[in-house]
Amino acid sequence: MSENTAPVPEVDVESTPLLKVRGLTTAFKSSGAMTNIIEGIDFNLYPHETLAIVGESGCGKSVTSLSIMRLIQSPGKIVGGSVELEGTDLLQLSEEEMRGVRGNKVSMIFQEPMTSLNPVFTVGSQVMESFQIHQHLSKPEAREKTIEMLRLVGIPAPETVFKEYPHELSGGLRQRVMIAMALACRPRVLIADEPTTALDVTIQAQILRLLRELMDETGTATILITHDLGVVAQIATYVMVMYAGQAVEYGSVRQIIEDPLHPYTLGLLQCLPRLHEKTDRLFTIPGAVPSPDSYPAGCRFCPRCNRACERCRDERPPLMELPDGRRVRCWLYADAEGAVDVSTAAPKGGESA
Amino acid sequence: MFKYVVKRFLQMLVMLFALSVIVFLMVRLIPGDPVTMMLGQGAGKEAIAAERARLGLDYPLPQQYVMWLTNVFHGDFGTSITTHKPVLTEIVRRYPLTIIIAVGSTALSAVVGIAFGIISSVYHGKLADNILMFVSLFAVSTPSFFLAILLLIIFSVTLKWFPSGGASSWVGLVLPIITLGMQEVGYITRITRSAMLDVLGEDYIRTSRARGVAEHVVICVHALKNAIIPVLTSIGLRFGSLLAGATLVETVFSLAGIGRLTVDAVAGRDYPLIQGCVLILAATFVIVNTVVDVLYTVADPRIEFDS
Amino acid sequence: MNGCAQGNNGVSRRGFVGGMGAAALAMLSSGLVACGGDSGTGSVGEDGYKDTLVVAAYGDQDTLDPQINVTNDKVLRLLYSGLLVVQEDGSIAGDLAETYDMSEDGLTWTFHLKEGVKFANGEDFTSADVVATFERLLNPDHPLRYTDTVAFIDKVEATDDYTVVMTMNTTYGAVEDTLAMQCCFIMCKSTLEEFGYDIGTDPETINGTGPYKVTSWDIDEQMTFAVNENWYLGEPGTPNIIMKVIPEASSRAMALENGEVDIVDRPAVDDVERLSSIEGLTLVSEPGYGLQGFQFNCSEYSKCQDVNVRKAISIAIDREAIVGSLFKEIGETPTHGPLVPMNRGYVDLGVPTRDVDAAKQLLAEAGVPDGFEMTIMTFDGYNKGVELAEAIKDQIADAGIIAEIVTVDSATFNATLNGLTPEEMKYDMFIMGFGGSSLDPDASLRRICVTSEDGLNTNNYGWYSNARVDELLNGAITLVDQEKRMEMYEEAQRIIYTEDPFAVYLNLRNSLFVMAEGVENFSLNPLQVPCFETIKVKA
Repeated sequence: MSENTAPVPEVDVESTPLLKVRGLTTAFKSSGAMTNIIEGIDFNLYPHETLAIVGESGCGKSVTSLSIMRLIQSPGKIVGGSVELEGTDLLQLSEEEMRGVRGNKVSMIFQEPMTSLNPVFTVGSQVMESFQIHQHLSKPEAREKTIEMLRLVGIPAPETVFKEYPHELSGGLRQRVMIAMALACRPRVLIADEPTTALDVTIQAQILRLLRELMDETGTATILITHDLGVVAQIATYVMVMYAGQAVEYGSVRQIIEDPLHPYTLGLLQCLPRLHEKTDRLFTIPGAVPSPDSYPAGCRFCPRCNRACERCRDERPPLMELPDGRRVRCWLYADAEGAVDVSTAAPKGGESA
Repeated sequence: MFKYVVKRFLQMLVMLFALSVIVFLMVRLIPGDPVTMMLGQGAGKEAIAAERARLGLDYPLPQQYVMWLTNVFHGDFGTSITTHKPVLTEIVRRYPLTIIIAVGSTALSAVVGIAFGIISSVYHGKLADNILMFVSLFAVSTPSFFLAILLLIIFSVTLKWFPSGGASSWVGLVLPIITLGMQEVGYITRITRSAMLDVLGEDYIRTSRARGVAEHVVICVHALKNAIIPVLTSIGLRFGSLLAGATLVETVFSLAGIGRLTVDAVAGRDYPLIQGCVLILAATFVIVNTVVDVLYTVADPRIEFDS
Repeated sequence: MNGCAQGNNGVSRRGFVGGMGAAALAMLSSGLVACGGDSGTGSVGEDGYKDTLVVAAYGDQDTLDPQINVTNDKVLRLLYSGLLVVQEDGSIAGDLAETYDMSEDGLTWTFHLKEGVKFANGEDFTSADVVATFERLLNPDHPLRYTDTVAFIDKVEATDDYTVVMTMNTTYGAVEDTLAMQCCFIMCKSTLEEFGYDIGTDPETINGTGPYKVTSWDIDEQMTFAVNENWYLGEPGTPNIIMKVIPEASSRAMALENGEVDIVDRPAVDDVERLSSIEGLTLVSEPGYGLQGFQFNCSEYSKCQDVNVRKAISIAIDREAIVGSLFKEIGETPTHGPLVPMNRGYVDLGVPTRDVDAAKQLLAEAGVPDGFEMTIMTFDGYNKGVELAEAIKDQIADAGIIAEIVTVDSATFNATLNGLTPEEMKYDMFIMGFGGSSLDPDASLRRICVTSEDGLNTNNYGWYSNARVDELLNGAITLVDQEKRMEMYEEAQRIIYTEDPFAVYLNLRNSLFVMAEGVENFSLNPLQVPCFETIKVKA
């Protein structure tokens, strides 16, 4: 696991966050009832920052990002909270207004570059479209900007690649194209959902480096969704750990990695194999993530926690903010010194936080 | 692409050659003699014999075939036994009308079918989808003959909007085209719907939406261009049954097309005319499917000619 | 989980669909402006009559060459005329021949031609045209369909411009009726010279002395006629005729209801009741078009060879019942003999009454008291062909005869009745129509009833053979004494109908026409062919 060598940028807590998410709750209809998939998600995002959202499959990371983009499809529905982008609550916008935001102010890149590009249109035309829709450029203008963008993301011979189809490019090139598409209109926020999972390790490194460079250059804030703590260490500024639809820990990347608080976070870190240690078996957290319609009455992690107690079984732990700015949802820290309860009440329509 | 088209053309010629042999043999092996049918039963023996000799029907079969084939290479498809006119003239006179109807109904059914299929897929599971699926089932199950008469009764006799037949003006082509297109609409609707449902579930559609593309563009451009491939296939393959269905339509609407000509030729055992008609119908079918194949490559760049 | 934006997506989707729907509707409605229904059926004259008569035909002509034409007789008589013609009362009179006479020995016929007659192209009609016409028909090197019909003529010569002498090679009893047939229509010599055997398919090759000329012919679509200004009999009722080919019977009916046509030739039998009840439409149903029945296969390979078997089958069938039920709507009646009432020499032999016991008796005499199995071939080109076969099958079953019905298509039907040997024939009975294109009984009887010379069923489809019938029919045709002839035909009819049954005759065919209200002067000639030239159509 490599260390993040770049200095953590200074965060000016007085300045307004680029993205302010409060109490974001999304539910899905299953067998008649609406069940919350994610609940009470809160975080702030500032320019130049990368927030890594980490967790196992099914914890709600993708749902969170799709909710921010308002790409949740029936039978799902955002049932509460707010998502303020530079002061405007995205959840209150009309669909048409939201379309003006997607790909423009907030962009997303997805995990599978293989299937995320439309196979029957040229790569260039797909990138060009973003310019045409949001910036209303003419065709020649859009074309020029597209080629520039392709060059920017490190694609060699961009004029040639412009005319090519996705199936003619390698995975790494395709992901670069996706990044080009996403950053074309210089979005304020970029959501990257497992951008390197499907790529080779070497390509992974290149893509991550590219992302970092672009972030630095443009000041775009990034939400990076991943289950790979190695990636987190490389480019994240802050980390939010999610479990069973809730944020269970939040802190700077250094804090999380060097001093994890929540038992789940600890478990995750222990799962990472160490090169210089010889083991017969890799560590796994026993048990499995509960499904949304059968969450336990108390702490959701309780059944798998090795430090659980009576209280954990019966009562829901509140989200506590500690003096160093970290947040953790665990009874172990509920009574810590200087801890403040910052749980937001989840809206009706599901189970409360 | 040019090489590909040339290759297909040569393949077509080989196929037509084989087909001509088969048809040549088939019609001569079934009972029935064109000369007797033409001259009628009252005709004297000498008259029949003389006519047979004149038409070259006395030679052994292989020789007849070779003679016919040689003439074909000179552009002479022989003379129709029943109308005494050159076969090529007859075909050229009657072919365009059928093609107009076939193309018209293909176009109509493609436009309507694709539209219905899109609507169905977008509203799938809801009322609009159920209605359209019912309509398409009805369209597929209704025999074209019955539909033709029904349309005539309603729109021609009762409402007097259209003539009961004939192609004196393009108005007379509307009901035949609708009749023929109806069944196709059913098929195309269903295929478009299922193709669209598949495509709408793909990742790249999600990407399009994530980029803020307008929904109607997502559906009708981004998704449709992918979904169109199986629809094209269906259109190409069904063109054959379209030509067959044209015969019924031509009969009910009194249109002098090649469908009716072929059927009458078979009933009259008019050998040269049968051969000519069958060959041109087969060639049409092959050409249409070749065009469809070429269109694939235009629609889907992943498909190459060699594959 | 896939994303789909919430909210008002519908607007753009609906907009797209709505736009397409509007376009389709616009297309359709602009078609309405052109308005179907009545398309160019001429104008109305000052006297209130239309200038164009529109007829819906069930099929097209094969050719307009009278010496080959097979299809039907409705059109040729509008374009040509002959030396003689059958009048309304059935008697023969001169047409292009003003007068004519026969020599004592009956072998020489002289025709004095009408003067001042012109062909459609303006040329004068003279004896040269008659000679050229018959030379073509009689040419042994190029036999035509009707060459056989005039085989009794030896030679035709012109003695002057308006006199023609025909020499027969035998005395022939049906000279007049034959010369009045359409195959003997006179063609123009110069047209014959110009077009030879190509006459008949292009309007420009057709040049006759009839009331109309052909102005255009779109094969299988329509034929248009305009008045022949040179017609020697005055003016036809309506100056123009359009004959539309509408192969589908229901479509013909609809065209009439729509006002697109004035007359429908041969409506579907099932439509007849409905059409005749519509106000303003008239049904014409005239008997005498021909006969329909089932002919026996009398060869040694057939189950029906024995005369008693044939009599048994004949008497086991209730013609009144069958014809009454199947042909009720069009009013067809059972036949009373092997000829139609209009035929010369017609004898009313009554309708046999059904007697199953007598039938069984006859079968016993034939040596098959318990019945037997047989096959009946039928073809739905004949009106109710299949139903008739079924009805017969049911009725003869009561006498112990089990029949299997085989339905064939037209080509197979023709192939079975065309020069087979008795061994090759697979059926014991088959459906058939009877009648001739002349009123002389010879045309209806001789060819089909006389014993086959070469043993094939070229004309005598069932190998019927009765020595007395051969004698009578072969003898009668060579006699010139018409009274004697008719006596012989009477005897022949009795044998054919009752004593040695040739066929089970069922119904007398009616010609069916339905016409619109304004049609006046519609009539059929004795051969059941409509006379379109007298018709006027009130607008």
